[in-house]
Amino acid sequence: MSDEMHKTPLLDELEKGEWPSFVTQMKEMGKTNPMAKDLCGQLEKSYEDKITHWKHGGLVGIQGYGAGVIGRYTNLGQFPALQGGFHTVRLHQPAGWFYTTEALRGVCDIWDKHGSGLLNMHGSTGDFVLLGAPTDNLEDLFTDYLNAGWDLGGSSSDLRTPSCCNGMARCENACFDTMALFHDLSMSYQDEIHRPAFPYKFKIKISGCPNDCVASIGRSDLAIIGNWKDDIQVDQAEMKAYADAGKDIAGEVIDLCPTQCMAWDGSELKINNKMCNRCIHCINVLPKALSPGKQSGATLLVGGKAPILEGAQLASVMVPFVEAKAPFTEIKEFIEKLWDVWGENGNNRERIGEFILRVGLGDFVEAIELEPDPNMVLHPRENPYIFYEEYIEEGDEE
Amino acid sequence: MRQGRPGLLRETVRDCLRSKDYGQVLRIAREERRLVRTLTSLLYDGEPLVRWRAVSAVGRLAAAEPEKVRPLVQRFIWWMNEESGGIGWSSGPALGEIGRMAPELLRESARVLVHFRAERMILAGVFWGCGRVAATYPETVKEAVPELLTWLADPDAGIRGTVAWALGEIGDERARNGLEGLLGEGKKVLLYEGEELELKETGTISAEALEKISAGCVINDRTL
Repeated sequence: MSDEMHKTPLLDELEKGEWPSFVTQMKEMGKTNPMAKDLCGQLEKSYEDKITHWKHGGLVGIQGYGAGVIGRYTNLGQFPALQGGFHTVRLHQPAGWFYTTEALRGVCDIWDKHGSGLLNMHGSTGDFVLLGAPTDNLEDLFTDYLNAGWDLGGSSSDLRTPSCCNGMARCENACFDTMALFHDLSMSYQDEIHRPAFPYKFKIKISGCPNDCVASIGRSDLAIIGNWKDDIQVDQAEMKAYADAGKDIAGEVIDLCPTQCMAWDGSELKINNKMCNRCIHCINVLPKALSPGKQSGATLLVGGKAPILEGAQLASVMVPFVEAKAPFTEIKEFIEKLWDVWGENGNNRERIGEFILRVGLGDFVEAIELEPDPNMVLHPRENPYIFYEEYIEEGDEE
Repeated sequence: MRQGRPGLLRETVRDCLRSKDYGQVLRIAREERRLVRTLTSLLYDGEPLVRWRAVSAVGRLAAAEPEKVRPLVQRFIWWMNEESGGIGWSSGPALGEIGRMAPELLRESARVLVHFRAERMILAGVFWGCGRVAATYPETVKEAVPELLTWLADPDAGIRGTVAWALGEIGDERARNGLEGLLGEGKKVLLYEGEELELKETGTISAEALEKISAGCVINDRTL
């Protein structure tokens, strides 16, 4: 390849300063890969023009799959290596994003053969993203990945690839086996992932404790967050050890408890567990002394989403506690009720959170056959001027 | 809740489609909320006969229980042209079949189907859909005849063959010359007709289309 690299003065600015820049990798790959090289050129032009130069140019995909490849076409004629398409291919990532170096090298070898060489590790949803596949290479690319044990992730109006924290693999706070649940859901719902059949996307994210390290509450239609039913476990000796080491337990923990449910007298910690709202701050600050309760499982929350179409929402508690043990029957029953109701009645491009706002929480809870629960309520109503009249039957005397 | 192991419903419906037991599919639809979703996903099935019979099943379900299928119309249209990686492989045929078996459901979308040309990859299916709605939206498809004729010269045999078939269904005299131009052409294409998938020569399809035009009949039988 004798072509020079594109001049990219604006992109070069991003490489200055203390922090590493993606531009460096793009340029590096561009030395040997024409698609990456031309990507630098197009991105520079976008910076100059202050507008994207990607357009919707048509459907693209793998035979037998209804999703997983997102078409990306350039609207500029001047970058030859981009004319054949620069599509995004999503691979279903392993639970907790654990890879062997052998697996990673394998993925990259196949990618170098067929595409731009550029990756997103990982896309926002969690997939391993191959950024820049030409249309003509898609089927061969997919065959190579399939033979190496990979599969496409979700896209469009389907169940998107789930994601999970690495839970019991590495974290003492894990209230259930997040990776086992992730794997079970991924394998049970292959059909829903590869063949769009919903009103719009549906995302499931799984965190092992209320720290919610995968930010499921803000980013998923169904957030499964580890929780416990009983008391926070307290090691009073370790509490004393923290105090002796100079930790400001009152200032850093007791005073900051959002429900003020803790008391510390210098030698004993008391927690009114019924008032604990699971912010997990105390456990985070005093990990040697405090840990989640023994009766652990998960809380199920529904409705988180990003701004499009009707505004960002946080997921709301629907099921305060499930045991979350394999084969996760209770969780799957719940998921399917959600899909039944929303699938049947959701408008096109209506996320389940928006659907709940439209039909009302009361009707929604009834439709999915859940008993209303105080945990579903954010805070009690503040307007005292709502009265409920006795239902008067026809023919009744007043 | 799913009875039995995962995928059981899917396999059951697949078997019904293979044996053309649409009655059973409709019975399941009355009891199992998941049926519509399962049927929708079978529209992507790897086995061509299964996904085409799923199209027929969607049509029959639309006739029997239109409210179950009504929400799907917008979704099928969306999947033909959306930018987040969905591919409406069977959207065109499904919309056509719904338009044939439950025309009221396509009242606002028939023109969208008939004039859709934005995605080459699914165009043959769109043309098949045009052929199916010829009986229930005759004015709409007749509008499109002059433009449809131009596709008889397309380099893709699947597109040529499906357009030729659709023109036969539409029954418009203006298609005669164009179809005569395809007579004798030996390229084989898969055509779904009478709920069977057959490998047919484009020339044969054209000849049969010409016969339909000569017979002057627009098929009005909504049970086929």
